[in-house]
Amino acid sequence: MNKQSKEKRLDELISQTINTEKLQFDDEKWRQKYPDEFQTLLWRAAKGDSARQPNILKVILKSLLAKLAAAAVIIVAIGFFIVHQRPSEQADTTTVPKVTKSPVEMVTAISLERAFRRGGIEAVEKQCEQAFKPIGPWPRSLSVEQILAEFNANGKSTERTGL
Amino acid sequence: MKTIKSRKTVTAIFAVLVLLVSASSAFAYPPDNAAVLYYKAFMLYEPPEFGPMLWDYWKSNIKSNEKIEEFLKKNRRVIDIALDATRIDHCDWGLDYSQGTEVLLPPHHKARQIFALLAAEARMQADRGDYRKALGRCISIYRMARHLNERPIVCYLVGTAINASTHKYLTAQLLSEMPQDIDTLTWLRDEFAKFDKQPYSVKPALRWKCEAGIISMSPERIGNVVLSGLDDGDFKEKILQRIATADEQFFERNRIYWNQYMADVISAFDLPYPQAYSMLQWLDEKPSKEFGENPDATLTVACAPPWQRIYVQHVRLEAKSNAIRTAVEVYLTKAATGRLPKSLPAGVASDPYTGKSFQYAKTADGFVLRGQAKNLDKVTFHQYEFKVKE
Repeated sequence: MNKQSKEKRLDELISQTINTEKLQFDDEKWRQKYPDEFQTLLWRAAKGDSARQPNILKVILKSLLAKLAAAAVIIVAIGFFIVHQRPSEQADTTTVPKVTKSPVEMVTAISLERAFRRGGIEAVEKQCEQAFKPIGPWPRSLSVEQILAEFNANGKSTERTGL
Repeated sequence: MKTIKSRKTVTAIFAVLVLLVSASSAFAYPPDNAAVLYYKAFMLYEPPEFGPMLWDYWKSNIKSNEKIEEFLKKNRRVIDIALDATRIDHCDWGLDYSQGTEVLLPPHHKARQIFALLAAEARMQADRGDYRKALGRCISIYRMARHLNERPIVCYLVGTAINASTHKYLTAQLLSEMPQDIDTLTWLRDEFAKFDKQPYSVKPALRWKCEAGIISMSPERIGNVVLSGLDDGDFKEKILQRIATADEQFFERNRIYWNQYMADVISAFDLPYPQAYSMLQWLDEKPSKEFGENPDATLTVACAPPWQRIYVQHVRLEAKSNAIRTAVEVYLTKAATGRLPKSLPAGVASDPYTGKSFQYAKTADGFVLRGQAKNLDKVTFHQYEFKVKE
């Protein structure tokens, strides 16, 4: 095989592999092979021209810069909204705030009003309960012996009570 | 000689009189201050370990059982102390009002627990068929709510919640279950009439809030007020920053703003319902909206409670109170004639939502009292259903 015949053979092989002929679309064949896709196309066509108009939001979001700008605007808007809300609107829960407070601070009128603003009368009740927790009810019984025993328990208590 | 003898006699008589007077006051029970007994009841009472069963029983969600009966028996002394307290006219909780909005309040959670105890006892009396005693317990609870209504707004709200719960029990349970007995119903009407001579009112709380705000708006106190009264956040920080750089004029201008603001709030509570509702919403938002531009509004933002929410509770309670008083008149007619009236008797209490009387209609098993206007907070018509035991 000479050089020319070799090149001819190679052209044939390439031509067979990549099929450089102009492709003919057989719509009937395609419709049979992909019935679902065909139905989708029909549905889109039925929706009319408006469905095919470019979506402004999509156009904006295609640009990376526009995406970043939109995200920044949203973040600033949310931040602005939170900062300018009254504190009462930021949280609505009946739970007592976890900030450490003394029982005295928890039962002032203004502090309990804040609790009411946050969670109504239940929140007031909870805050009072938490403030008075360390006190609790009186002991069920207290005998003279118990009191005397406390006096005699150590020297410190005697000094404190002066007895 | 005679003069010396007579002097000795006079001295002896005086000493005996002093002893008698002091002895009688030293051992007097009950004391002349109901708060002493309430505090005693609060300290002695241990709430049940079985959780909300007492509330469920009172609300008729469950029937009586051994645990509940045993618990009420065990707490007989506490119940009696609380009932004794309700019979005393004078009640002074010993609050130091010179502290302004930082005044320390009584343990309201204990008051609510004692209320639950008394309410469960009322239900127990009704279960035993002693409706007069059950109604008596309800009247005692109403008195306790009045005792709790000290000047701070929170005290008013705690009393309101107790009143409202008792109203609900009377409407849905007691009046609907009990037979119509003229004596008992007349007694109940008279008890309500006694209350109405001095109605349960929000006015003292509103007036005191104005005074307390003025006391608190001073350089020495305002820091604590802001720290206690507002949730943490930028808003609070901004207020604290303004206070840190404030001079006496800033405080003076803020007190003037607060005074005018509170005058508007107090006037709004007297307006007809729809106007009051809108006005208080506007007043709730006003200081926050003006905060950015007007430094005079700064301390009002820190001190103002949610007025519209308080107003809603106030008007709702008044409507329930008036509905119960109207219902008692209807029950009395039924007791006297054996039939429900065709229309409401003359002179019955009006519906505060409209200023007009309730709409009355018979139902299959009783009657209903309806409001003629929508509740703006719920956007529904309010109505109170009463059953009639045949």
